Amino acid sequence: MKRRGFTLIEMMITVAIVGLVLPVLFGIIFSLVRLQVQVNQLQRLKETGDYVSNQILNTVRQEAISVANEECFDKVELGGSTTYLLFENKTDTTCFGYYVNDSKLYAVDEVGSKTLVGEDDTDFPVEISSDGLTMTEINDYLAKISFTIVTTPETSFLKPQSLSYQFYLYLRH
Amino acid sequence: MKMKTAPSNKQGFSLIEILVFVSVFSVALVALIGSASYSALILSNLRYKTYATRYSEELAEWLSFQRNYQGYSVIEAKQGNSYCFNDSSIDVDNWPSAGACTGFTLNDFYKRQAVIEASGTKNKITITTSYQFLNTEKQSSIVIYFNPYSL
Repeated sequence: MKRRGFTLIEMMITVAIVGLVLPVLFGIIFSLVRLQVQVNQLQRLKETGDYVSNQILNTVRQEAISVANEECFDKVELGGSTTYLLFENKTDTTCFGYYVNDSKLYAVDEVGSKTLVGEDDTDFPVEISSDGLTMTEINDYLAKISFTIVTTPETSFLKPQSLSYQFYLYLRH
Repeated sequence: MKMKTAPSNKQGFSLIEILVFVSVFSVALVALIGSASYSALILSNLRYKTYATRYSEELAEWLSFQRNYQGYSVIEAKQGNSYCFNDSSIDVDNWPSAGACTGFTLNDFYKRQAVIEASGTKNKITITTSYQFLNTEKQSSIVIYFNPYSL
């Protein structure tokens, strides 16, 4: 009885088919994982953005009595930023506000400033894009903020995700 | 004289074996690719829905701003109408004229509208951002109520 194994041709055909199918399978799984990571980043981005915009809206509504960009300019340290919005506090007439500098959003008062968006050493770094960034004092009781937050992926494999926020701040008087 | 033994059938795979292998393999492959593409569809829809929710929330925030800034009467006067907010930038008091949206022109993909109606003594506003996904209309809605008393 002649025992034969696979011929070279048969092995070549098998390897070729496996070689065609495997990259396709890996490609599908790879792009699925990428999509999943991007959607997850978008969700976390929205979490951050919602938190920051709610924080600004609620703080200003509860504590501000007027928009005071000029009056407060000398009382807080803005780090050379030109995009800022300052308010006068209802209870103790001190100044507080928000400013964007170097893609970071800060909350500032007469004591010091605190980073709201753009802290480097978190596990999920995001920054404020310069596109469509405005902080406008319309009058003493009305201001508008619009900003876009973007993720800063460390690999080119992930596309940066972005989300825009715009809202008016109106102070009752 | 000895007869030659018939050639053994153990020398390769039988047709049945090949058939079983191919069918199991193809069922597994189809199931894998099917679940992968289904998951990709759900993920893309989730992404669109996240943006749609953001648009709805933005409009909800603007409407409560309008209620504080222009007063309740301005909202009340608009009862019974739909308004289309397909403009991506929002203005201080730039209300669109009444009427439902005609197309998906917000960011070329979304349609955002608010329906204002009376609900008892309150004002009910239903904000809906919809988009087309695989030829069906998907949406993200928020319902807010305004009442005539100051907060």
